[in-house]
Amino acid sequence: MPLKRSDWLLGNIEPLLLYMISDQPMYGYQIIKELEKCSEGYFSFKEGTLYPVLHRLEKEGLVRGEWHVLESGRQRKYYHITGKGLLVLEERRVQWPKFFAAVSMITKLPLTDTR
Amino acid sequence: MVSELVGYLSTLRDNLRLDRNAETEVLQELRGHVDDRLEELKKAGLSEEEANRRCIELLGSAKLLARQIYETYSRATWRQTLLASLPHFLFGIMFALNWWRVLCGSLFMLVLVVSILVYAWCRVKPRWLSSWLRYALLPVVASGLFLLWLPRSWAWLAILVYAVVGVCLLYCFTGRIKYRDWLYASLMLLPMPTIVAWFLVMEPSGSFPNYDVSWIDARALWKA
Repeated sequence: MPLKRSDWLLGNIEPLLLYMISDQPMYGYQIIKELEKCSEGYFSFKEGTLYPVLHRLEKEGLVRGEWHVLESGRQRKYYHITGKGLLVLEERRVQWPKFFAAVSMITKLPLTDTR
Repeated sequence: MVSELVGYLSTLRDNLRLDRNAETEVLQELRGHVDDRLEELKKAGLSEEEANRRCIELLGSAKLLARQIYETYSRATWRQTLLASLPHFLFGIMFALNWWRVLCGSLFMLVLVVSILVYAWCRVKPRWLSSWLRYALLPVVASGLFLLWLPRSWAWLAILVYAVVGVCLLYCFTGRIKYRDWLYASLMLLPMPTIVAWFLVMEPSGSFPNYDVSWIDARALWKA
């Protein structure tokens, strides 16, 4: 059975989340909107599945959740990247070009042709 | 919020099976997400009912989501599990080797446990530390301090304090685990009656009564 796009995403979502949160603290819904926007709609998935991943990153100490009270009185949980998260992200940043280069060598697709 | 969405969140809550605090946080976060999504869908021109239906569709299956969140919160490594249960092993060794009768043995155990606690507290405050502090050491420290204060002839009262504190803690933790999984709670309680019975029949010398079990041998089926 061919892999669905969502399967690809879920296999790589943790470093993507770390990357986005490293730019600025974000809450869950904001992350989903940003993912869709930055990938021009390529990354879209069942929104609920984001939260187990975020909580897993929090349990592993890669991100830290903080509740903020909004002016309307509502509360929102913002996720901040931690020092450990930055280290892991840096490792992935080093690995990713090598990964794509290896994929390109196997598939004979040039790296710029991703569609 | 329309009943469909209320039903969705209710199904999620019923299947989460987390500790109360964790459950409250998770539901609050998801409710916030739902509110944001509903607001956007309504701004896009959908009616309340259509927006609710679309929101549920975008979130995905409530049961699957609950299971994924539960799996995230339930993860523990063997290392964490062993470290959390270490006080029980140490106290078991102390009684098995009769070190509790010897001041040096008890002191050695006490120093070892306190050293590990101080180290853990000062370094990383791991999750197993709460297991040590709360239900492993609290009854011992409470009854130990009580014993120091009591006159010698009233020392038995410290055992009573230990038993009462222990039962209270057991009740609290069983209640929390029962909420998550009644089968795990029953397995957790399984050895308790046996251990309590052993302590009750133990003689002051530390040995068990000399029971005559020859009647079992007389009724052995292989001797028919």
